[in-house]
Amino acid sequence: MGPDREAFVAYPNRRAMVVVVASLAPLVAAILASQLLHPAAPFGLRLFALLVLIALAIGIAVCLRLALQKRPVLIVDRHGFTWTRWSDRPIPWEAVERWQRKRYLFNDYLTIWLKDPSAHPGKPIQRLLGFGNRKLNFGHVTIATGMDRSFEEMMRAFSDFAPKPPLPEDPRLARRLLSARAREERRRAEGGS
Amino acid sequence: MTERDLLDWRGIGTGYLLMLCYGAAFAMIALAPPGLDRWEQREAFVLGLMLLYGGWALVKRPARRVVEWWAEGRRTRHEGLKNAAVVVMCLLSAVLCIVAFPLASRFSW
Repeated sequence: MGPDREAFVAYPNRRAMVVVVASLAPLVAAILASQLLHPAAPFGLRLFALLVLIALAIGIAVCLRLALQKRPVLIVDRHGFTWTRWSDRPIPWEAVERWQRKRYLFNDYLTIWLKDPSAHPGKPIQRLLGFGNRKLNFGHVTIATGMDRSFEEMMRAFSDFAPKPPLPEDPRLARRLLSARAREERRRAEGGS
Repeated sequence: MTERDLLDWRGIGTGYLLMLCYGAAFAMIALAPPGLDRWEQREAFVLGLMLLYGGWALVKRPARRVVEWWAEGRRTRHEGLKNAAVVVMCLLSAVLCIVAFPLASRFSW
């Protein structure tokens, strides 16, 4: 059904970005006032506070930039997907090895393994995050929420457009996976009609 | 209430929960400056946080019903209410940011 449907386009959820900034700001102020600028704070603690503040400042800057961004943050269509937080260049489906939904610390993520990651380099911060993500068994590109579309809508778009993940070698497992996919297709067809 | 509304309210609710935690921590510092040897104060803080979370868990379902009743079928009301909640949160956040500096002087490292 994939090629027939409209492209999936998602913009940043500005309100959510403002909420994140408002939630982090008192923490930044408290660390700044009680550790970094406090005259009696030990030197080691000041250094640690500085590192924490740099990480928080990067997070706030990213959220503010997304809150002001007017172009889409994710586009999924029949040619591939463009995750502008990773790169402004679209990544074609031919470059995707596999993709998987993952849950980590109560949050859902869509993680994608690329055939040749060097052909699709990400922005510096995303590369840094990607390095950490791979240590947690995530793929090269990981898409989280924070958009004006729900995670389930995004998953449906990937299911429709992206190549299906390869079947496992075990024939019984492969049969079960195929029947689960067929059930999902039927359920969505019934829901759509 | 749509799936989008639920997601938005969940995010806003988490933000308010954090404000409650910050508020509780700041109130504790205002009442008694923390010292490294005050174990009973930390226990009281953790207990206070648990009570706040319990209170939040009790309040959020009736609050959702009130929102659904007031804004049912009126998208502008719904969006306006979410925006108002975020604006109030930003104001609370700004107050906490300002208060953090005089409170920090009560710290005894």
